[in-house]
Order: sequence, then structure tokens, then C-alpha cells
Amino acid sequence: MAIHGFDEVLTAAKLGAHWALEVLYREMSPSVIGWLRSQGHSDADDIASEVFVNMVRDIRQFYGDESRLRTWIFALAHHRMIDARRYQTRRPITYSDPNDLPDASTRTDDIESSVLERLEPGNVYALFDQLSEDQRIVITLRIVAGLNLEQTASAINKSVNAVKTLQHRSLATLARHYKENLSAPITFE
Amino acid sequence: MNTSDDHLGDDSDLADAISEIAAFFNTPVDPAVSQNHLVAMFDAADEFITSHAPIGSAPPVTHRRKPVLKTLTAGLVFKIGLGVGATALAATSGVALVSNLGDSSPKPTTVSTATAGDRDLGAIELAAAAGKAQSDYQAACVQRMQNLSSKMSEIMDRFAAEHPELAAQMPDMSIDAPESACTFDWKTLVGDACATEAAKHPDPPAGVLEAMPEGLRAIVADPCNADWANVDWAGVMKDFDPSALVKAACANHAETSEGLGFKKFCESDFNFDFDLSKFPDVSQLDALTVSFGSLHAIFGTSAQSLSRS
Repeated sequence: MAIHGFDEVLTAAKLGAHWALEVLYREMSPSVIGWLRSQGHSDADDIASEVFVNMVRDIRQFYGDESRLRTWIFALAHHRMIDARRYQTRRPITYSDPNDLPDASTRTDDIESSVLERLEPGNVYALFDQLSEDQRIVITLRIVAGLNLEQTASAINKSVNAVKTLQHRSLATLARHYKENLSAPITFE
Repeated sequence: MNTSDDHLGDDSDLADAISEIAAFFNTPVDPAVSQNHLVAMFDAADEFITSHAPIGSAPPVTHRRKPVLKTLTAGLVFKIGLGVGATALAATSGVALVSNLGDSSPKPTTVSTATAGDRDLGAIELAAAAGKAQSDYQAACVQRMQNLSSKMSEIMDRFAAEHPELAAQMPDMSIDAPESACTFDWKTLVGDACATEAAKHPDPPAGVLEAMPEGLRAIVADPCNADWANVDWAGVMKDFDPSALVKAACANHAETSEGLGFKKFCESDFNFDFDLSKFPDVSQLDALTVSFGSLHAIFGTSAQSLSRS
């Protein structure tokens, strides 16, 4: 994350300047929405809207650098995600319909294309399905959101050691399941 | 993807998986979705600006005050902002909790205070009651928290933004465990938040303190332990003499060799033809304290200089 002239952007955003808010949104929204999708929410876009509206309303109370802003926004996303989950019936998490995810045909990036060849949506979610909720939240904040250990701990209000433990276990689980399926392509449903 | 500070992805196979997962989810946002999000954000910003006039903007009163006077009036509430603004969110959390415990006379207005933005003075006034009823209404609290969870999350988000250093002390409001909020020691958190914020800002020198209205001195001197619930705001504003306050501040400033922007201000020909009878009401005072960050930049600098004299 690198916002040119971050201090000026933040100051302007606190004053409600649309251009500054848009700068923050453009920088943050892909990873926020991506992270919400990684949690299996089909309404990730709606939750993201709440996150950024909350950001606008509370940004005057925010003091810190880009790193801290990123942590704070993901803390907002985490809370909104939990809230959204409460509104769902208390049934187990059902992941997004893979058909709702971005169409591979719209992607032009070579890396992403190769990714889609190996990891179909169902495969990714099934991989995450091997993790506990806390493990999934931690590992996706690290991988998808790009937060470091301290940021992750702060975003979900846990200690760094707790995050390390969750990360270690989730990586071990992911590694085991990933390797098991390397020789035989993973197929789901 | 973040791999810099630990062993995330040092296994080559797993590194591939991690890269793939990161790329899989980090896709461009649909332009139509972005547009919807931005419209919602801009609406929220415009709405907030309309309802929270910042320092420097035209005040919502019939007369216009000079900017410097606005700065001064803000200066008066410098320590109020310190005591109130800093603790408001935590205090409000506690207040929203204990004031809505399901007793015979629940106070829905408390919750609206907690989320409506005019939280400072109302919240701190009510915060005096925080903790008292907590132990008495445990069961009702749990029930009530289930209904308040969303609002509480918002409040805690705001508090976390203002006081990330205290985040570790905050109860885990994001889990379906309302009892955690009901057993939490809110008073300690409020006290810690206030102490943390107070430590960032020096006390005003004695001369400045004496120039403040009598009803305000105790609060300014010790905002974390002040009896906010019993402040006579009408009396405070009646006794408020902005010229005396500035003169006292300038007199103290003259004793220090450190020159800051305040020196120029003192040497300028300031004149406050201010009709105190038209002083904004408490709700407008709130607006000033809300802009505490700006206030610190303007007046806090001088206060720091003064404190070194």
C-alpha cells in the first residue's frame, strides 16, 4: 500500500473531501472486498459498502500512518463481517456460489489465469473449509489482506502470539491438504 | 501477500498455494460496485459535514465570531476535550451498557447519544454511572447486549481508532458472547483511556488555570477524576472571560524563550468583542470538542510551550 501524500489525503478525507475518500477507497477496496469474499460471504460487496461508510463516519477519530489505517479498516471489516454473520441463520457457513465470483474470462493477467487453472473457486473454499473460523480469518488477513502479524493481531483484537499459533496451525493444515492433492487434481462437487 | 516477518510460505509448494490464493481474491473491483460504494461514502461524508460543523466553518448561530475567537473558545475546552473526547467512546460504551440494562426505565436516548455524534458531554455525564449498575443487572445486561451488539461494535470501532494502544484491553465484542461486555471493567478502561490521553498533553500553567472560569478549573486540572455529571455549564460560560484567558496565556508564554506561533498571536492586536450571552449552547460546545485534533494543533502547541515555562 502506498498512497502518495498520505498525510494530505488523510487530512482531506477527515474534512470530507470526496477526492481523498476516493483515493483511500481505490487503494483499500480490492483487498477488503477480496478478504470478505475469502470469508465466504456472497454479499461481500454490501458488507464492504458498510465498512467504507463506517470509515467515512469515523475517520476524524483516526490518527496514524498508512499501516495503522489499513489495520483499522480491516478491523472494521472484521466487525462488519461478524455482524453480517449474526444476521444469517445460525447454520454453518455456506460459501459463495462459485458462479458469483469474477469470471475467469474477464481476467487478463497471466498469473491470475494460471491460478484459475489450478484453483477453481470450489477448490479454494474447500481448502479453507479445512480451517477453523479463527484460523481462516487469520490466514486470509495475512495472505489476502497482506497484513503482518502485528496488524492482524490488532485487527482482530488478539495477541500476536495467538495469531502466530493460529497461523501456524492453519498453514500446517493447508500444506497437508494442498500436498495431498498435488498429484491428484482436487475436485469438488 | 505478506511474507516478510515470519515463515509464511517458506514451503515451496505452500508458497505456490499462498500466491494463488492471494491472486485469486485480490481482483479488481467491479466498476459498478465501486460507483455504488463511492456514492454511499460521499453521501455519508456530506451528511456528516452538515451535522458536524468543524472549527473554522461558519457557526450555526446568528452572529459570526472571529476565527481567533473560535480558536480561543476552543482553547477553553482544550482540557475538556482532553477529558471528554478521549474517553467518550469508552465511556459511552459503558454508558450504553449500564443505562440499558433492562431496568424499569431503560434510557434509549443514551444509545442514540452514543451513536449520534453529540456524544461527548452527554456521554461523560452519564459515564459517572458506568459500572454502578453493572453488577446489579447482569442478566438483563446480557439480554440487552444481544440487542445492542451492532451499535456496540460501531462504538468500539471508533474507540479502537482513537486508542489503538488500548485495544488489547477492550472486551471482545465481536463474538457472540454478550456476557463478556457485561462483566468487563468499563470504568478501568475509561480511566486508562483518559489517563493515556491526559499524559499526551501538559496541564496549563497556574496563570492560565486561574483565568478560566472557576467551575472549570477542577475539571481542567484533573479531567479523569472530575465530577462531570455536576458541571454547571451555564455558570462556566457566564464566568468565561476570553480576553483574560488569552492575556494569562500570553503572560506565561512571555516567560519562556521558546518561540512558537503563539508568540505572534500574543503580539497581535487581539480584541474580543464577544457577547457572552450569545455563547453557543452545550451542544455547540460539543462540536468544538469533537474537533479536538484540530484544536490541539492550534492551541495545544501553545499550551505545550507554556508548560515548559
